[in-house]
Amino acid sequence: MLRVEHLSHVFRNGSEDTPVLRDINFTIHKGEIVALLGSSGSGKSTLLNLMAGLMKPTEGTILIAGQAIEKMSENKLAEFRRTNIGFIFQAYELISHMTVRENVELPLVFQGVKPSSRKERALSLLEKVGLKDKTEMFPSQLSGGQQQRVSIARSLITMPSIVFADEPTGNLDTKTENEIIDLLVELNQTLQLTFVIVTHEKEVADRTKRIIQLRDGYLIDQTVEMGGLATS
Amino acid sequence: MRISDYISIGWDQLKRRKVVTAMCTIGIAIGSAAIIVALSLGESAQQYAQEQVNSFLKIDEITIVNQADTKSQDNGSSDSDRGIITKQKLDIIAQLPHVKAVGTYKSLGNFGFSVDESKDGRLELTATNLESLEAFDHKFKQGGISEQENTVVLSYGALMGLMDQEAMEARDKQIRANPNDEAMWEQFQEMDKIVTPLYQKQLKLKIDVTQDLNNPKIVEIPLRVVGVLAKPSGVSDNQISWMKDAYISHALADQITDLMKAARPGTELPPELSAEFNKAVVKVDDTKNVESLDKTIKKLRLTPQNNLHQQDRLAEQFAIVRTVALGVGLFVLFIASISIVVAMTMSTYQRRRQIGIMKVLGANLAQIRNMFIVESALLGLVGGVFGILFSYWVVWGINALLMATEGGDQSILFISTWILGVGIFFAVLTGVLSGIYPAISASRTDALTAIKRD
Repeated sequence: MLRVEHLSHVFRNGSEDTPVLRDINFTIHKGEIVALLGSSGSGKSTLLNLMAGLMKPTEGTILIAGQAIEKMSENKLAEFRRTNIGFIFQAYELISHMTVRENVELPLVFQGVKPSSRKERALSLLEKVGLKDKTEMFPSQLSGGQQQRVSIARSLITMPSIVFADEPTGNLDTKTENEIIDLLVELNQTLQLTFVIVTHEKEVADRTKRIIQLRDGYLIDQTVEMGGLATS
Repeated sequence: MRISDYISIGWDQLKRRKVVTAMCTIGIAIGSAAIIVALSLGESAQQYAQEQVNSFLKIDEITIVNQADTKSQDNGSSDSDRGIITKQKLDIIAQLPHVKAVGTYKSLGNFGFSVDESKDGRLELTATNLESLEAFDHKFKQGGISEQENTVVLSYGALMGLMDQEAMEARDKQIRANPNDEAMWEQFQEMDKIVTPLYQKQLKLKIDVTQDLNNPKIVEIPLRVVGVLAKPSGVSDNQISWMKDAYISHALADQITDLMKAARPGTELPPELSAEFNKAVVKVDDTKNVESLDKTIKKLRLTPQNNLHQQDRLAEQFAIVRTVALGVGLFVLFIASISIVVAMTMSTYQRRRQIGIMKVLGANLAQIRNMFIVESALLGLVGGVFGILFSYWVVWGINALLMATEGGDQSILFISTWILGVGIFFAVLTGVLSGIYPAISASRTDALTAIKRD
C-alpha cells in the first residue's frame, strides 16, 4: 500500500542545512492502522507531509498504490490526493461558512461529482460518525470532538487508499480523544481502510496495530503492538 | 469541478463579504452605467438628429428641378428635353423600383387671406398632387384631401398668428414707435403662435392678378379648408409659426394662373408661374437606395439632387461622439477594476488558509484559479445588473430634464437592448480581467504554508 524507501529530507536555511529525516524505510500494508510516534522535532510531521505529497523529499522514494508521488507535478499530485488520500487535521480545518454536510462533500466537489450523489454519500458517512442530526449545522455550532468527526467523514468521502491523521486528538480532552481513536479503529476494521496516525502520545499510539517510532529524524522502531486495537 | 459549483462557491463568497462586494459593485455599476448612458446618448442623439435631418433635409428624397423655365429663355437653342420634367418622365420614375411616391410642385407665391370677414393671415401657396402629401410625411391633424373644387390643405403654421385689421395696425404702430423693445417683440412672438381653428372654414384668398405693385388688382378666390396638417415633430412652435404652407391642386393652380394671364394681356407670366411644375420630388423607400435611383433618374436627362452627403457628414460626427463616450465609460471601468483587484487580492490573502485546505483536499491549480475568476466575474455581473438599473435612472432623469427645459412629451434618450448587452459584457469583462491576478496569486498559494499553525 505505502512504501517509503531511503527517505531523507533536509531543511535549507540559507547556507545551513538541517537534516530532519535520515534514510527512512518502512512499508504499510493495506488495511493497517499505524501510529507514527515521536516527540516534538523528531520529524514525524515532516514525514507525514512528504507521504501526503505536500512536500518533496530531498532523497528517497514514496510509493503509494504503486505510484512514486515525489515525481509527480503539482497538478498530478492534486489529482492523486483527490482520489487516493484522506487527510485528518489536528485543528479539524473545516470551512466555517459551510455546513457540516457541505464540508464533508467538499472533496467530491473537486472531483465533479453531481450534487445528489455527493449529498447521499455525505449523509451516509455522517451517520457512520454519529452526526446524522448535525448535517445542516455550521462547524462553530459543534464541539471539538464533533468537528473532528466531521473532519474524519470528510477524509473518507472519496474512499481513499490511505488516510493520514495529523495529531487527530491533539486538541481534544481525554474522553473525546478515546472516542475519536475508537472511531478510527472501528472504521479501520469495518471499512478495511489504511490509517497512518501521527501522534506524540504513547497512549494514542498504543491503540494502533503498529507503531513506527522516530527520534531526531531516525526511524528507531517499527513495533507490531499485539495488544493494539483494543477499544476503550 | 462543475460550473454550478464554481458559481455556488463564488456567490457564497460574495454574500459573505457584503461590504467589499457592495463597494466593488458600486464601482462596476458606475462604470457600466457610464458606458450604457454614453452609448445611449450617442445612439439617441444620432437618431434624433437623423429624424431632424430627415424632416428638414429629407435624405430619403430626390428633388428634380424643372429647367423648363430656363430653357424658355434659351431661345430654343436645343430641341433636347434635357432638364425638363415631362409627364412621360414622371410616369417612368413612378414605376422605378424603390420609389414610394412622386410629388410635383409649383410654387405660386405668398398671398394674403381673410377668414370670417375679421381675421387676416398670409400663406405660401403651392400646387401639388394632393394625394401624395401623406407619402411625403405630412400627417393630417384634421380632415384630408377632397374631390371638391376650390379646396386647400393648410399646414399647422398657417393657422397661427391670424389677427384682425385693427390689431395689425396697432402692432405696426408699436413697432414704428419703439423698434428695439425686446419685451414687445417677445409679446408679438407669443401672439404669432396663437392658433385660429380653420378646419372646414371658408378662406378668401387675395390674389393680385396683375402682379404689379403700382396697379394692383385684387381678386378674391374662396377656398374651403378640407385638411389641416399636424405639427412637424421636433420643431419648436416659434419655427412652426413661420411655416405657413398651403397646398392646392394643380387644376386650381391652373385656374389662378389663367386669371393672372387674363389680367395682363400681352405680357408673359414669370417663368416659374408659366411652367407646369417647378420641381418634382421622389420619395425613396430607403436612404440606401437614393444613390442608385439618383443615377437612374439622371439617365432620363434630368438633374436630380439629394442630401446624402449631409448624412455622411453627420455619421462621421456621431462616430466621433460615440468613440469619445465609449472611452469615458471604459476609463471609469478601468478605475473600478482597480478596486476589484485590490478587494480580490485582499480576499486571497484572507482566504489563504481556506485555499490551503482545499489544495490538501485535492483542488488543483486550475480549480483554485477558476474559483476566483468566477467569483470576480459574478461580481462584474452583479455590478453590470446594478449598472443597468442605474443607467435607466440616469436616462429617466435626463429625459425629465430635457422635457422640462425643451418642452414636449416625447423622450429623446432611449436605451437599446444591444447597449444593455454591451454594458453587461464590459462589466463581466472588467470582473474577469480584474480577477486574473488575484486568481493566479491564489492558485500559487503553498498549501503546507497556508495550513501551518504557529
